[in-house]
Amino acid sequence: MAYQPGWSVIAQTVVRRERWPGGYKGGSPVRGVPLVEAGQEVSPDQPVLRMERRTAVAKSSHDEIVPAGMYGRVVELTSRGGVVLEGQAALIRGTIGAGNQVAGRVNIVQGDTLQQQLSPGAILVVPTALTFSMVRQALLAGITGIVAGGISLQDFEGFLHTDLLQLLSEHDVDLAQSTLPALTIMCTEGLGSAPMAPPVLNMLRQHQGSIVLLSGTTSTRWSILPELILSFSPEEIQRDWQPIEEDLTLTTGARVRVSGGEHEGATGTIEYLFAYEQVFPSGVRSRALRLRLDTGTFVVIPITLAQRIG
Amino acid sequence: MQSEQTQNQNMASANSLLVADCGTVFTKVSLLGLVEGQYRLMARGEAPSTALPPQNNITQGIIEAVNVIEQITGRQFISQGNIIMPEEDSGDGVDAFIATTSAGEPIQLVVLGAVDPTLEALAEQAVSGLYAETHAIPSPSFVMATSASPVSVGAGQAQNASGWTQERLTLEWERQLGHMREIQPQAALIVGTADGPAGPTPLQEACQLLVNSAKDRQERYGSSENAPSCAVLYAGASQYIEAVRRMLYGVADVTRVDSLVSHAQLGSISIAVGTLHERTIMQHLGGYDRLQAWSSAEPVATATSLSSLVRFLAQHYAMNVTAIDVGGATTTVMLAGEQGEFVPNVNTGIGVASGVGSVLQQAGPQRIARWLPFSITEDELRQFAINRIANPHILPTSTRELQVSHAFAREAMILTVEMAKKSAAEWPDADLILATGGILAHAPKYGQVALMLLDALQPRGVTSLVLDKTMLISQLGAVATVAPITAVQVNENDAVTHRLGTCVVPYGQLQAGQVALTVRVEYSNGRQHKVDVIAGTIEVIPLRTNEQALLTLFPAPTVDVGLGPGERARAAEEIDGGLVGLIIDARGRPLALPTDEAERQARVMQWTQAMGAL
Repeated sequence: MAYQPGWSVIAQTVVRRERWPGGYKGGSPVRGVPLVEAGQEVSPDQPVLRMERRTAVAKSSHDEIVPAGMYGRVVELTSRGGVVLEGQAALIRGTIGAGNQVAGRVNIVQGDTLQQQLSPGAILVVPTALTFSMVRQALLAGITGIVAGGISLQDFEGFLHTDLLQLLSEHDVDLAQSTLPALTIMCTEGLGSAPMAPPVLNMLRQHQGSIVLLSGTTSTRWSILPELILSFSPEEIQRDWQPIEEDLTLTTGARVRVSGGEHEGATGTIEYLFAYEQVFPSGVRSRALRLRLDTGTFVVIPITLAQRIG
Repeated sequence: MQSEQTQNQNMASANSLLVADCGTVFTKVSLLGLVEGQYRLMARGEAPSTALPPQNNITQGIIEAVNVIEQITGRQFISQGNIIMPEEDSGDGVDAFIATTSAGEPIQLVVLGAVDPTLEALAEQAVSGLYAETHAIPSPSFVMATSASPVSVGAGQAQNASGWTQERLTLEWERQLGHMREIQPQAALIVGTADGPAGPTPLQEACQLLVNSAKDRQERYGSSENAPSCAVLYAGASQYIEAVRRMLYGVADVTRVDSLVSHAQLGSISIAVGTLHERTIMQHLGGYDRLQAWSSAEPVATATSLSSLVRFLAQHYAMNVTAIDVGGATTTVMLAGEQGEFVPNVNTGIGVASGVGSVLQQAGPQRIARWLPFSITEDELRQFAINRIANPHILPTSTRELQVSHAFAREAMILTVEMAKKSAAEWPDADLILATGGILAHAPKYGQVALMLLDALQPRGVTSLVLDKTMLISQLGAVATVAPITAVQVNENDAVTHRLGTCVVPYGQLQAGQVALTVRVEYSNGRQHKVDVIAGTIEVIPLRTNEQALLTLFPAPTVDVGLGPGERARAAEEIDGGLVGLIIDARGRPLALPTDEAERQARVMQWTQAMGAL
């Protein structure tokens, strides 16, 4: 058994997140002014805070009203003015992304082109890999966020106008995000051309048209991954609703994703955990497991390459 | 932590110990025990570290690594999430538990006040053996007073003697505040005397910057922010300590340390910053309380533990020892001399997993690619680095991935040694190179490790290469504080037993294609062997572990093996063999790789083959 980063998809969980769209606007620091109180129930489109420029004497015309982005209850108001919400939701964790937390309606792109599917304020779901022209097009159309399978390093850096390595290790995450284009991006599979994994896409299809909360912020320094929160309305929550426990142990029968090497991105089920170290083509010896990939083939991978996803 | 009395009892009769090292990427646990009257390494386990989210509990990774030991030994060490202590009659449990850790961010230390380049270098040197990053922010008045060329400004603006306008001064304050915001320091070191070019004003301004920064933080996060405030070490002019305390009252705790003016104060400052690191970083790791409760002695920083051992080895064996530890997020080099010299450098952020991005940024793609026997694009290197940062636990399964990982490891070591040499008055040739860290310990072939060490550390003369495959040496310093006999015995019996071999590195003017050195080897069984080594090549002469031989070296007239150009050298004592053999590295120093791409690749391949590292 070994512990790994959390499941990439959790169908039912309780999330507690600070609603915080970033502490800077146009390079200037902003502060949050909560519009709700602790204990209050909120719905996704309900304004929960107003972002004010810190230097302004009074409320300025540039203030931004921030909707909740999820069903839930206000559990805390943070000292910087953020609003902590708790609610029942499905959670999708991405592998890489960029951009502040945003809320918007899920719009699943059909086909390979974005033409005529660009409603301002939406969060686009692109089942394939993204290209530079697609993200540019989305930005110009006022799209709030994109969830996609992958994007090439060159296209991603070209769009962000930044060195991704530098961005991932920035000390002040809030400040770093404020310098990026106003389009939040989350890749579920990582850098490259991998399409979105079917279980992720299926879950997103169930939420077509719903308001969701997306964060693209990724920081290796602070262990922050991008995530998409798809909350459930009170009507959707059944009486016997129970959160799924996120078991991180690697055991026979567990669903895993391969996080590196020749089979990177492939998903499958653990068939067997070797008691002793195995030798790999590089000559490296490692504890290992045999995996039945979703394609039906069997592969042996180091245990550290298996990331439990369900 | 256990009571002192219980701890002493446990230590006095400790038959078995679990020793854990919680790294940023992996947690390693070793079981030490008595075997026929000697302490030995009995089993070891490794698991991904869990100090960061989602687990956020450092002890979870330890338990996982201990579970591996349980599988190997069939003994039980964990019960209901705790270490079973003391050892039971059944063999379950252990008598003691000791922990070291390098997990967590390095402490961010700002150096404020009248910070001239000398004081900045001294401050860096003071913390060079700690998980700490320093950032010098000289006070505005000091910057103004020491500015070489005043900037000309528009007419009508009031200027002071240095040509600074009020506007420029204000901008400098804002810039400094922005810098503080970016760094978010956990500690500040105020330095400077009162008789500098700006008088005592820089000390006052250092305090003012801390006050402004605290206000800024409060404005940004609110007064209820739980983020640790900035602790202050005052190493400035002693007569102003009370004034500093008054200015920083309610803003920061001020600890007075020796006024920093020379190397003599480095020790006390190092101890003070080390204590702050424990308080502000280590003790805030998730699960630390539990770790402390398990521990027979206070957990210590891995680098601190390593430094104790390296200094001990240098004095015990009366030789110059260079220890290199290549970790996932940190690379450490420590040079300890037989005369008590000690140069540590903990290069935080430079490593082969989460630290790989900094290696790429600081070394650049060309420097990494130069070690590869094939062409690689910058994009592939960047992609490799990002993937490794996102998945720090992954192991290279293909030969190409392994070679790229080893190239990064070389540059991590080179960057660290370069930095260490900057602060060292001299860098004596090492008699012994002791290597540890996952990428070295897990390398499939010993020849790969030896070649990485030769490429990166570039020793000269005659050096022994030893690999700590157990990854124990970083922990034995901590073990020695509570169980010195255990530490010494395990070190000799297990930790430094993977001797790669003796390495002879001629230097001076090596003529390409000409014989640089003739080596005559007289084996213990009377057999003799003579080898001409051509400049630019590596030769490995068979001399296995437990074999000895007498060595005579005949360098070319312009080549030196330690006794002067052309001087023949004959070893007074037999040299020991090793897992690789007797290595003659005649590539020259400093090592220069061919500029022609095809020739470079061919040469790298040739060296790799010679070392049996393919």
